[in-house]
Order: sequence, then C-alpha cells, then structure tokens
Amino acid sequence: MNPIGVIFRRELAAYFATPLAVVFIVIYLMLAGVFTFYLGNFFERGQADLQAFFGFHPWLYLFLVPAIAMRIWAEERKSGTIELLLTLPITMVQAVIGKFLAAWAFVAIALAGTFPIWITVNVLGDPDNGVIVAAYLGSLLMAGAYLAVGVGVSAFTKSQVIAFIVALVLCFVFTLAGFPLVLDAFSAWLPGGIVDALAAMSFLTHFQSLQKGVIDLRDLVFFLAFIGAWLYACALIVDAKKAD
Amino acid sequence: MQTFFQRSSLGLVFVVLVAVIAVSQVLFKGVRLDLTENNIYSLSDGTRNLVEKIEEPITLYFFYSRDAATGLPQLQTWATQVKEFLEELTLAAGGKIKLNIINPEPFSEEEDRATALGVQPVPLGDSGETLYFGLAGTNTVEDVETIPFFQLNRQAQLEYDVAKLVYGLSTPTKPKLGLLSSLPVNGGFDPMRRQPQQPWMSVSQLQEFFSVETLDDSLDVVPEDVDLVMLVHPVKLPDNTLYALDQFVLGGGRLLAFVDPFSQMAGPMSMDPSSQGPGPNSDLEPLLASWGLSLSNDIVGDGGAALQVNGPNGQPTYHLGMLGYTPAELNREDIITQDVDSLNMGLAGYFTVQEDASTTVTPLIESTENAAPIPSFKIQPGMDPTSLASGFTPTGERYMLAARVSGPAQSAYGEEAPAAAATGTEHLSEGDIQVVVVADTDLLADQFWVQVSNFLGQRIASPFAGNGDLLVNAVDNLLGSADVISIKSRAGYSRPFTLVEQMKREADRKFRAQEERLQQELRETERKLTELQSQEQEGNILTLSPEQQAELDRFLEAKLAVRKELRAVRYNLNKDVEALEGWLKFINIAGVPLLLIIISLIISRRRQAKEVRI
Repeated sequence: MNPIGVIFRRELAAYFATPLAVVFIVIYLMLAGVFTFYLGNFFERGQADLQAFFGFHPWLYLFLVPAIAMRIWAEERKSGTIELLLTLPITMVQAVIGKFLAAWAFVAIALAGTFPIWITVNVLGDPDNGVIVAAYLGSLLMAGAYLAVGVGVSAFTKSQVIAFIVALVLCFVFTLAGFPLVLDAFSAWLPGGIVDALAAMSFLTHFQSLQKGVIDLRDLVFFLAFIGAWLYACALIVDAKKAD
Repeated sequence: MQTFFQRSSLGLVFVVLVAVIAVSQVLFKGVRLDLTENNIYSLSDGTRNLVEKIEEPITLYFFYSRDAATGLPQLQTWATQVKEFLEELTLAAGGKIKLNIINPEPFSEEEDRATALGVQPVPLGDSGETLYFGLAGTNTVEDVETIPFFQLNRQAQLEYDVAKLVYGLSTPTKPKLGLLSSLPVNGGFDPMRRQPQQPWMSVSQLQEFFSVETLDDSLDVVPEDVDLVMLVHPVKLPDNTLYALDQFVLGGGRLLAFVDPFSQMAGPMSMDPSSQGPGPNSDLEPLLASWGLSLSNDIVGDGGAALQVNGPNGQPTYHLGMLGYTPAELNREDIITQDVDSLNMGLAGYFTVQEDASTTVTPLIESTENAAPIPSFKIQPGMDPTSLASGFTPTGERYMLAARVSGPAQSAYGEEAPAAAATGTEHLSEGDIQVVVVADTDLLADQFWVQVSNFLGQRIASPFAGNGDLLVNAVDNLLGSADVISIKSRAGYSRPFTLVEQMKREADRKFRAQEERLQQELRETERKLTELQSQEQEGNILTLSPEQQAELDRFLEAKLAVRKELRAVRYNLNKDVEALEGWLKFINIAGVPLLLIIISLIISRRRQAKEVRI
C-alpha cells in the first residue's frame, strides 16, 4: 500500500478514536447553522441560495481549522512519537501529505454534515445547484489552504497553544489580504505591483469567485499551489527540526 | 551551512509560490467552468451572434481609475469582472471590436476624454479624488454610446448592458417601428387627475431598442421607412388606413396587432359622457378575416390561471378574467414566447382559425383546459369578480390567445383597390405575410407587469411578469434580429422561496373563508344586540326581565367569543410559516449534531461492552 495511504488511514482513524472529533464537528455544524439563520437572516431573505451560509465560512474556518491543525506536528514532537514516525520507511514529504490529507478529509466530513441546508434550500425554492456545488468546492479548497498554514506552523513548535495563535494570525492575514487593513500596511514601502500581488494572495477574493458558481482555473491554481507550498515548507521544517 | 541552505530553500518555496500565482493570473485568464444554471458568466449565443454580425469596426474605451479604487475591494473585483468580460467580447468579435483600457489620471487628457464621451466621474469621500468606471464606444460614423458608470447592483445585467451598447453602435440606422394606437400608450393628459400621464413602460422600453414613430390613424400609405407596424386596440379605423395596412402586410411589411374584445384601458377618459374613449372592443375587420382568423366577442375565463384581485370590499378574490400564464401555456418552441417566464393578461379574447384559411397559424399563448368563454356584457364597472364564476363550466378546450400568422394570404379587398384608396400605387391582391396577433391590449399596461418608481427623475422599472419581454421579443423577432432576445432574458434574476409563498397563499385562502363567516356572525350578533337594546328603550322599562337580561348577556358573550376566534384566525395566517421556520432552524442547527452525539454514544457503549467482555 502507498505510504501516504497508510499514514492517511492511521491519522483519520486517530481523529475518531476520541470524542474530540465529534465535539469539534458538533461545534462547527451548530455555529454554521446559527450564523446562517441568525446573522445571515437566511429565512428572512426569502431567496433560494446559500449566500447566507457560505458567507460565514472564512470566519468559521479561521478559528476552527487552526484548532485541528495545531496538534498535527506539535503533539507529535512533544510526545516524541515523531522519532518513531521517522524510522518508518517513508519520506518526509509522504508523511506530511498523509497527515494533511487526513486532516483535510476530517474537515470535509464536517462540511458534509451541513447537507441539511442544501436539502432545505431545495425544498423551499428552486436554487441554482451548480452555484452551490462550486461554492462547496470553494469552501473545501479554502479549508485546505487554512489547514496547510496551520500544519506548517505546527511543525515549528512543540506548544499547541503557540501553534494555534500563530496559525490564527497568519490565516487572518491571508483572509484579509487584499483588504485595506492589510494593503495599507504594505503600500507605504512596497511598489504597486507587489501590493497587487499581495491582494491576489487573499483567500477571500478566490473564494468569492468560486462562490458565484464559476470554477476559474486561476482560483484552483491559487489554492492548490498555496497548499503545496505550505506543505513543502512544512516538510522542510520537520526535517530540519527533527533533531530538536 | 545546512541551516543556511534550508532557510534559503524555505524562502525559495514562497518566492516560487508567488511566481506561480502571478503567472497563472495572466496565463489562465478566461479558462473557467461556468456552473451556473443559465451560464450567467459566459458569453451567450446572442452576444456571439451580435458581434459576428458587426460590419464596421467598433472602438470601446473602458475607463477605470485603478489607483482611486485601491481600498475598495468590492469595486476592484467587479472592475476585474467587467474588464475580463470586455476582453472576452473583444476576442469573440475577432478584430471587429478594438478595446482600449484607460486609467484616467487626475487632470490628464484621458480624464477630459472620459468626460467628453459621457463617462461619469464619481467623487470618493472627502479627499477630492474622483473615480471613473464606465464604458464608451464609437463607430465609424462617430456615433457615441456610453455606460456612464458600472453600478454594483447591475452585475447580473453586465452582458445585456454591454451588448445593448454594441448593438446600438453596430446598427447605426435603427429599424423603424410605426405605432398606431387608440390607447394613450405614449402618455398624454389625464383629465380626471389634471396631470400629464407617463408613457406606458412597455412602449418606453421599445424606444430603447427601436426608433418608434407614431402613425396617424388616418393614413393612405404606411411610410416607406417603417419596417413594422404595431397596432394597439384598433377601433373604427378609416377605410383608407385599413387598406394601407392590408397592402403593407401583403408587400412584406411586418405587423404586430394587439386586439381585444374588452379593453379595460379603453374606459371613459373623463367625467364628460361625450368623450367616452375609444370603446372597449377592437375591430380589425376585414383584415383579420383575410389572414384566416376571427376574434371572439367573448372574453376567456380561465379557472386554471385566474389571478387574485381586490373584491368590492377590499378582500382578495380570484378573478376568472384576470389571467396569469406560466410557461405551460406559452409556446416554448417559438422564439417570441420561448423565454417568457410569466405573463399577465386581463379580459382577453381568443382567436379561431377559419376553415378556409390559406395561412399557417401557430398558437403562441393558449389557455389551460379549465377555461370557457364568458360573454363580455358580464363585465361591469365595480362588479364583484365572484359573479363571473356563476354558471362557469370549463369546456375542456384550449383557447388561442395569441398567434403567429405566416404564409400566403389574399387581400381583404380582392382584385381591385377600393374607392377610398389613394391612387398612384399598385394594388397587391396576394402575398406572403408575417403577422403576430394578440387577443389582449391590457397586457401592455403597467399595472399588469411592472412597478415603475421614480428615482432622481429617472423611471426605474421592476417587472413582476414577462409582458415586456414578450413585446420586445415579438418586435425584435418580426424585425428579423433575434440576437437581442437571448440577452434580454438573462436580466433580472430572483429565486424566491416558492414553498413559503405557496403556504402563505394556501393559508390565506383557507382562513379567508373562515374570517368571512365569523365577520358575518359578528354583524348578526351586533344587530340582534342593538335590537334588544332599542326594545329596552322603547319599552321605557328601567329594568329588564330576567329572560331579557339573560339573552343580552348571552349575546355579549357570543360577541366576545366571535371576536376572540377572529383574532385567532388572523394569528393563524402566519402560524404555519413560522412553524416551518422553527423546524428548519432546529434541523439545520441541531439536527446533525444530535444525530452525531447519539451515534457516538452508541459506539462508545458498544466499545465499553466489548472491553468488559474481554
């Protein structure tokens, strides 16, 4: 069996070995529902689309995904199991990818738990289901990007708390990149072209275009390249720090 | 050495990432999969046809102040969308459209050019900066068409707006429409309210696309530059006009006729009984007969399409003559009705095809099978709409409310021109005709399809039915340019909660009857009570007999009970919808979590049991 597959299965099974996974999914689903109905005014809007639902995903992931990601490497290092992992006949990159895919699959399971809202909107009216499919795909890709940041940060430290906070701050920056708050800080000392490039690094801009129902190759490339880069960085860090 | 290498390779990873993203932004522009149901983010076939037909080159100037828009992310995203759409359009036009993207700096020549072409500067905050975000286009004959500013709320109509601009530039001579109407479709003066009336929105909308010339109702010959005549409620047209129309149609001219056995809009125009307006029933004989059709004197009552109107006491009731048609009653194969989602008609008539008709008649709108003719004398001002239902039995037949008539036809005047005809033109006794007839005139009136509001002197139309689309489609189709149609239908998109609306209607219907009964009961009780109280005064007895007192108490009690029940009925109107909302909230917020908790509890029980067994 492919070493990535082995790691993936072991990790995914580990999530569900403790009640923590259920607690996490329950919190995620309840928050998503509350935000949709109470902050997004889903019912009062009277429109058969899921804008009120997907609009809150970046902010939900901002807190919940770093919480999943924080333990992935930090715990491994703190408990010393990392050495065991490294004695296995697998490469560092394979280990990183396997662990990341397991966490991503876990988020995908949580996201799949929101299926009643899709049914709801189809019962209530006649939504554009193509748009909803694209938005779900966008949401999953965005979760992957948050997760990649979290995994990368987790490789840096033994402390889960530090991993969580640093990942949260970084994710916050990447969510808001392209918004004035972040741009103003850079535009003073960077040329315009680089500021524009920074704006193109925002999760939000890419998620929003997927949320409209258009799968643009540029958005796919952005998310996949972003995830790939962070995972590769993660592998480099784990490799460098294995002796610590 | 190794850490240096690692650190630099870490930096390299992110440099490569930025490079990949930057390159992909340029390289993969326009590579995308549009998953929306109506492909709202792709160029429609209509636009593609439109740009393919461009003969003379068109130059587009897209003005966008990029620097001023820094810090307005929503606007930036929208501007990128506009820019990419224009680039895609330019690509599709294959060199016939030249696109200039201009970033007008403050106090520059470009800024002057933007203003000169009609692009509107928008001031930003207090900084005194202005933002240009508009489109101007010119053609070889120096016509200028402009979108002064791309409004954020018109994102769904982007393609329509731009295509309209291109269409205007590619056809410098607009096809001409001759309008002959006995109704005040072009506005006029309302003597009752002593103020000018606005033109009907349906006609205003036509003027956006076509040049519309109003024709006199007495004409010897249709002007040569008119390609299509639109007739609205023809009444007692002079013979020379009828003959001119007959010859126009036989000579290849197109005709769109709105005729009606009972036109609501043709009611009396003033209190003065001598100026009674044109009269309610249209008359287009002998022309209709020569095309193989006849118009009914009766109106169509349709139980399957009846709309709710306000009854004499203000309560909503279904009106058999007010019809709301859906795609099921519209011909989905004909381009005129293909993309019309809904159509409201009022007191419409129907056509029957004559047995000896030489033309081909294609129905465009047909009633449901739950319909029957209703004599038009039953329609009286201020009547109770429910009275139409008495004696109404559906015949099971589908009545034709609109039709396309094409093919060979004979002149209504036979072989020889009538005496009233103008001399000097050759008489045509036969020819191939292209005519569309609709057995209703009211559908053109605003109240049947559009809400018009006034915003800073501009009239903003919010359609609630597709009547306007039908008219534009028909005119455009008869003028032979089918491209605008497909773009037209993409505008305006709302997906309401149909279930909630249906529940509200259902609840309304159910409780309305109950409320009426209770109101009746209440009136009856009150009447009896007053009677009793007046008896008491007449008798001049200070005290009531115990029986009378008991009866009075009983009535008072009954009155209170009825009122209470009435309140409950009112309250119930919204109860079902509120219950639905509550259930949906519960299912979506707590449903899956509860399920998960139960499942995980069961699993952990089993595990424990297993462990114990071991």
